[in-house]
Amino acid sequence: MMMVFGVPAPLLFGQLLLGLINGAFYALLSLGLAIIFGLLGIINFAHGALFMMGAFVAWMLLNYLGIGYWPALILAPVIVGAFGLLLERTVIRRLYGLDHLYGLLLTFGLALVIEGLFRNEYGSSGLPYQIPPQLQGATNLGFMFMPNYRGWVVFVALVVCLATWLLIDKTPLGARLRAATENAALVQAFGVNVPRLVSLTYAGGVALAAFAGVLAAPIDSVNPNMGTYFINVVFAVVVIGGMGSIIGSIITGFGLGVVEGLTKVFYPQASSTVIFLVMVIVLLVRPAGLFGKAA
Amino acid sequence: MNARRTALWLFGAALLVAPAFLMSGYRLFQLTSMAVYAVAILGLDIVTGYTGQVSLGHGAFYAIGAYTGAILMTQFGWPYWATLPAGGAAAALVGYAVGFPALRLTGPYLALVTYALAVAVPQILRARALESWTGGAQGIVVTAPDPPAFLPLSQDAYLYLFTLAVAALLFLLARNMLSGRQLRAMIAVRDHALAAEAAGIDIARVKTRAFAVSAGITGVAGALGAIVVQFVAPDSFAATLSIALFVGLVVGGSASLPGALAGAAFVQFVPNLAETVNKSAPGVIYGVLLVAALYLMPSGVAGALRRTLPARLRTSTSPGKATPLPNKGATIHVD
Repeated sequence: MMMVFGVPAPLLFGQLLLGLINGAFYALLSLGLAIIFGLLGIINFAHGALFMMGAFVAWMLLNYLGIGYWPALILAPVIVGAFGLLLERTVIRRLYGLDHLYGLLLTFGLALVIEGLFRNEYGSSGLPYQIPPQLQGATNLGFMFMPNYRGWVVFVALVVCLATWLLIDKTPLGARLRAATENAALVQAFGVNVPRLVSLTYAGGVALAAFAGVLAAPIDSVNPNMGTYFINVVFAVVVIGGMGSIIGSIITGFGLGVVEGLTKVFYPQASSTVIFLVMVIVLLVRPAGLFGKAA
Repeated sequence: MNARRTALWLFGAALLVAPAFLMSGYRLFQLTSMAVYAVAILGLDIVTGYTGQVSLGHGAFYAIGAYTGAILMTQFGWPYWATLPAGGAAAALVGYAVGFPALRLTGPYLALVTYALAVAVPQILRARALESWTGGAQGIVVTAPDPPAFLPLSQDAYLYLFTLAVAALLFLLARNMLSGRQLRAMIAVRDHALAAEAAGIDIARVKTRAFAVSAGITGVAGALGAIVVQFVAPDSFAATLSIALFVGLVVGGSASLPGALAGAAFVQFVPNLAETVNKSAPGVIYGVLLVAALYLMPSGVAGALRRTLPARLRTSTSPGKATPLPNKGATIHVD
């Protein structure tokens, strides 16, 4: 058997792939969190619940309406995004102008409500969601067998992350978004409908989370707790990457997924703490985060 | 006037002591844990309510206090009462250390970082390397103290009164500390750091000290909690504990000592209440009540009382018709 650094190669590459997949979820989630925090100034504690909702909407579309994975990949983020829009318009908006804390607690309360409702309806044992037929099976890469679906997740997450980055960097909408995070009142004075921009931004961030949820549905079972694990790590990812940095979220998300995977190979005991360890070190050296700009 | 005040104080004290003789078992235990929560929230209030540094990680200090107490009792044979200052000191030390990096972070940034601390601590407690001390995932079982022989009390009643006494002592201590110059310095740092600095206040000192004292008080609460619950384990100190303390602070009313008590009541009883309303989805009821509390009492129970008791005019904070713009978040950049 081929060995790399004293570790069997299939184990190493297997964990690397798992790390990349987790990294893909970290990146998609932290990207949404970063955009929402940038414009709304709210740490969206409901992000994990909305990720879970994405997976559930995909499951419901399949089991109640017979709509499969591919349309769900578009439909679920749209539906959950619309739900996010509704949340922003009805409840979150009322807390603007109050301290940051209120938004944080409000979204935490919303997460409890959303997760509780799903648990009440579907239990917490988890529901199966099949991998679409086109992506079943595995490909021999020469050094390892890669399940097709997992490769697809990494690929499509990267594409969506880069598309979001382009949207924010190159389009007029992105320019307005960036300007509004710099000075909302001034942008408003120039005639941009900032409240609408805020709603759309929240919906967009939420849609990214829901998209990640649909991607995760065939990997994990669809259950009401699936967001809780991710969200705690994703907060650390956002701190390490630096809040407000788009490219930082993407690179840090994937990077930390890989770091976590490698730790599982070489020092499994630390695999659940390594991200927090990295966070402590980064904070001591660069409190604004790896890609953040000092306030 | 003075006699009336004394009477009021005595009445209040009697009201607090009475349950020890009127209740028993689980009911009394709930009140005891509420008193423990009140102390923990009091600690959080000092750094977040008065000094304005948001901490979502006070569960970590609580855990440090609890584990210090449990280890000292089971492995070093310390008497239970002696573990309280030790647990407080251990937590204060860590709090002081956290206070320095915290100087460079503000608002939501600090909130996220302290939250990450709260997430990390249970994992560290579970670590294999510390197992001989912490008992790993199994945790440590602590034996409850017996009441002294000269007191004709049940164990539950004694624990309640002991907790109450410690809580009263810490509230008095906090009240004395939060007065005059110190209080004004803390509030100045919270409300306008730059102006405070211009007025000659050493911001770094005020902030790090507040962090240490705050962590210390919450650490004492942790050591108390270990005695009351008679058990510590990593899962008792999950990140949700930190959030619960924070919820208690905001719902009770920050920068208010009685608010800490009201917040503790919310944190202790509302989840139970939610369970009696709907057994299968207590989280929903709790979440709805939390959201309702935020809208109905934005300055907490203490703030709501302050507004209703004296019929003073409300300060006008209504934002008018226009949709208010959100707070400043982080400037988004793509490079």
